[in-house]
Amino acid sequence: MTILDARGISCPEPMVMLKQALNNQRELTLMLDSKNALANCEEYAKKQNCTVTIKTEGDEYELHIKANG
Amino acid sequence: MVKKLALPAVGALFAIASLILVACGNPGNMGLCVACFLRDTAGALGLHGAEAVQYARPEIIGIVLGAMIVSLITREFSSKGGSAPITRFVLGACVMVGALIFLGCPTRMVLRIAGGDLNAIVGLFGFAAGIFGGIFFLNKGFTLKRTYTISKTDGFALPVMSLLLLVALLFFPMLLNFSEAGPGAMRAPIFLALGIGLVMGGVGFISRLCFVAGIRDSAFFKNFSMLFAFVALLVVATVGNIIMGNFNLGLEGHPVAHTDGLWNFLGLALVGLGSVLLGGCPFRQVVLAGGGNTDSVTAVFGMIFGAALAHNLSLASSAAGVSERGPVGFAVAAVLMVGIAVYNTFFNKDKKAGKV
Repeated sequence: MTILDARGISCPEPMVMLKQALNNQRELTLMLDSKNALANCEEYAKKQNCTVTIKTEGDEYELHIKANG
Repeated sequence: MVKKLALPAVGALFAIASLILVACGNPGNMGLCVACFLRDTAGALGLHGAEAVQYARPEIIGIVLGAMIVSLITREFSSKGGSAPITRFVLGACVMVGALIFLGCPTRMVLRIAGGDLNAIVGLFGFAAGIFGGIFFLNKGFTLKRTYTISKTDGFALPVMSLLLLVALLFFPMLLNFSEAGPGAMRAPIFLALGIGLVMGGVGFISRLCFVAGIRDSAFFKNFSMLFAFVALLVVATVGNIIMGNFNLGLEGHPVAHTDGLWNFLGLALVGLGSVLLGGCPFRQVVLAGGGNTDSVTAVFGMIFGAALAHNLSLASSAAGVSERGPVGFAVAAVLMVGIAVYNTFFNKDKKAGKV
């Protein structure tokens, strides 16, 4: 499974990475370290009909994103 | 966190804040223009010699401090930086040159449209064109690379400088320049301006309000929530201007504006492209800077530098029109901006962030 490391990357770049990855993948892990990127990416993934599970460790977030249907 | 549904309310609040500031003394259609007020602040500090635009605007101080206070309360204050600082500085300067050719940042563009200024609609098309240009580069992989956790002294530097500027404004005004005529002499009362800045900085931080994101996210991510803030600001400010008798539909006779369509378009195209590359509009950069993001501080310093250059080298427009040197300033800024975009999209991929 693809792991996208977007820690330290400023918005909107993490969303761009996620958008492009979801074009050809149904499941991936996205690593983030800002609440701003977390909110934007979670919202975007949900709008794309994906299930999002978030693991938080300190200031870092690991989003498991899986396309539904 | 303010839910997305609240974004129109934030846009409306921004409009009301702008209307109050204009009613209480700020220049027409300039209630809370971040580019104009950074330019005025640069003048107050003696960084440029344009006597008509010199005043340490309390709104800017308020936005920085408001964002800092709210980010500390929500525990989101975070000293971060190191993502292409000089590139961001240059982009900030170029954005300001574009804004001063148009005569306003995206915020003022909306406020000018709300005042019936059709020149700003031409600017809006340019702004959108610039944003679409930015989306092209984003889509092709544009990146300014990673930002890092850095010393707290970096994160607090701008808020502390803003506080010192406030102390100078209140208790040692002899240290600063003040316009005696022109837009810089048109001022809302200090504490009102400061209070509104504090509120908008705080609300801006929580809501992530950004005037570039409205168009960018609608076009690229099919996310229209930020666009609703943009529209709410426009609608409420328009209604307010009509009620207050400040609505004057047409191309002529608007405060601090010129009627040269080509340069209104091109000026804001530069702002649109540069703001997408920076990750946010000038307002968003000032808000993020207050929250400890030194990448944004660098962009804000670039804007202040750009404002100083634009006035010292006579690149900025005036109500009479575009200056003789304005097109040269535009050309230099455009080449720098496109060069940065092309390099960081197509030729700088060796250490690009991405798949692990």
